Amino acid sequence: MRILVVEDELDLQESLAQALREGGYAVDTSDNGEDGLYKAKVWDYDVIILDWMIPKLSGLELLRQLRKVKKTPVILLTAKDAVSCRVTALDEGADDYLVKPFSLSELLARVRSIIRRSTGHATNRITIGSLEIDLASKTVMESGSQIELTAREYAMLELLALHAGKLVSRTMIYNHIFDEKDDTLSNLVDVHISHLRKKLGKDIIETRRGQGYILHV
Amino acid sequence: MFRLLRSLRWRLQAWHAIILLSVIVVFGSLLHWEMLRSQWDRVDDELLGAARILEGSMNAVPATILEAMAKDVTSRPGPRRRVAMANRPKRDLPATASQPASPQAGPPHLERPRDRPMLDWQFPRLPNEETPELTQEEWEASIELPIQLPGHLGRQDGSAFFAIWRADGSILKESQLPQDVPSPTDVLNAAIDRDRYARQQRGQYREVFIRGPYVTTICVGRPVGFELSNVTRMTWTLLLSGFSVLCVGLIGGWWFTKSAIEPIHRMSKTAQRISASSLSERIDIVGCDTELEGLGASLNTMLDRLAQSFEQQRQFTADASHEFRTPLSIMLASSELALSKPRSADEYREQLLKCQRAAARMQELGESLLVLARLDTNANLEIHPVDVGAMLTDAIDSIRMLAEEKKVGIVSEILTAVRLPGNASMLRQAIDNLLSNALRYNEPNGLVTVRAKDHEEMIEIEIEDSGIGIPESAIPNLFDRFYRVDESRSRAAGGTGLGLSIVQQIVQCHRGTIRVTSTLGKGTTFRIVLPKQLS
Repeated sequence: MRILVVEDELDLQESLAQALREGGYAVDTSDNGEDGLYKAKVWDYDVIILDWMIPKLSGLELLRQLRKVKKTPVILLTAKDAVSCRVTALDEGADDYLVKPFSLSELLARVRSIIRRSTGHATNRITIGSLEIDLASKTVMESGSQIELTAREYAMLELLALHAGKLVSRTMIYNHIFDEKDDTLSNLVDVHISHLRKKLGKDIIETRRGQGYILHV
Repeated sequence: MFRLLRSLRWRLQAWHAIILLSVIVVFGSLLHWEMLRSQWDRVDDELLGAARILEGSMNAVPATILEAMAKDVTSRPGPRRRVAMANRPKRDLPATASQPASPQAGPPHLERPRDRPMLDWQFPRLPNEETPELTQEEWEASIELPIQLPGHLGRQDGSAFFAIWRADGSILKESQLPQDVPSPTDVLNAAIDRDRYARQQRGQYREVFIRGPYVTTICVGRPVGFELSNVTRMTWTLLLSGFSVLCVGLIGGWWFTKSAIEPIHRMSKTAQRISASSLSERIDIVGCDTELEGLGASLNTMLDRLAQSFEQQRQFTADASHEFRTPLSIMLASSELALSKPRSADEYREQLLKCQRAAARMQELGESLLVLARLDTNANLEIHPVDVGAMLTDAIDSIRMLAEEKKVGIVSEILTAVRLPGNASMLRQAIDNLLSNALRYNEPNGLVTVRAKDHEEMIEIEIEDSGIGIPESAIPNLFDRFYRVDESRSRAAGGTGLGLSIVQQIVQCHRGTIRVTSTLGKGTTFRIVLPKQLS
């Protein structure tokens, strides 16, 4: 899953990005409104974490402009805690609202919840056949025994599982698993898929040549 | 009871009642007395008139006949005659009655019986006295109350009566009496002698006494039941009307005080509703009396000012807490991240550095707020003579290093060595704030110029930079707390948003003024004028 963090306080931005990366997300960052809007328009992020008061274009203005073209989920971060501010933010298209200072674990939970909802899942637990994926603890169980996956492998499995039964294109995988700093070699996806197959069994992921992959239910 | 006395409305009502009651009582008593007096005067006048007629008719009776009559009366045994006047044949009082044989026929009318001998019926006869043609009965009959005169006497079926006494108290003549009229008492006699007539109320009867001729006493009376019932009716009418006027007055007064006090009640209710949280409400002064309107208007003005200062306070608190949130969230996020899993020393170090920076920022913010709060309360600043020139030089020296880092030159044109009264550390803080702004918003290879000029009564300090300038629209708000020309630019550059606010407060505490001129892209000049005397 790929997340954009738009925050002008660099110390905060770094901490957020690092925490999210450690949570297994691909993270892009931006420190002003114009750049943030550009990135949000170009890439299909799973979640955008947006500070309200940022230079050049305020978070709210960014949200308004983004909503004209995309419905990417947005969590608005701000020090403004007045009810009217929250109402304005939610009405302008924010999906969630977090008042500074906030706890990182809460932010991560909200990110998970938003991703889950945007892909149509009600809980953090996805079960596909004998495969069980826990989105919160980021663990995978196959017939009751835990399977060790690298962060990238897990991210890829999570993406396939959230879209289980549907075709997931290579572009989509690139867009959601790798961030802007990753050196995206064209065969990196294939490598990760083959690792997943080794660990989970050959038949679980079907390759559609030239199109992408499907995780069969 | 005590509470009622303390109530304006009850006090007004009580005063109103007392005044109204006394007016009604005084006015009613006067009216009652006057009506009684005029009624009894009228009755007395009638009776007196009748008595005078009797007196006149007695004067016309020849003394001999009177004498005989008196003997006749006194000698007459048995009960007194009772002859209804109405039954008597009506008689013309002939001309003779009013035309005595001669003016000298009667004795000189002496006012005071004591000056005269007791009744002496041997009146001196006039030499050519004509023998009256009237018989004794006829003379006797002539001493009678005229039925027609005066008109009122006959109202109650001719029940007026009279009695004539001799000096010794024996009856000379009397009409039919409703009951025995006692001969005049000493008190009455004295009154007759004093006032020429006397009157008395005897039960249902009113009687008037005068002196008749030949030391007689004439009494004319009549029953006054009608007048008495009149008096009773009048008294009741007065009492009732007085009572109803009192009631109407009290009710009216109650209503009046109510309507006068109602706006006060309304005001106090509104005032009760208005608390710190609902300062937006105002007292309705439409339709109030002038005095209350003034009160309401001044209360509203007070509320306006209160609301304004509350709003400022609220805004300041909100801003302050807002400013604290960002460094706080950095500290929280960094520490949480650092503790989320075991890390290398470098990683811990990195997060700790972030925390330290955030803490330093909070410290700066807290100190600025403290300075502002101290300046706000005007806590007595210690005032000593301050050498402005030396202070400016010191301040410039302390930022020279930072300026070199930023490649900004500093020029100083300090042309004063005057000491002016002030608080050295506060003034230094103001200068430091302005200098660090001048550096912060300057361009590389820019210039900061510090000038100090000595005027007659003041010192002018100018700090000019060749920086990015301030847009004209921002200048009015420049000294507001937490105001930032660009919402995030200055935050990235550091600063709390309180610097200029503090400078302004300090200058104002020294009774000085601060002004700013700026051209976008060319630079900004702050000009402080400080008086040499703190009046």
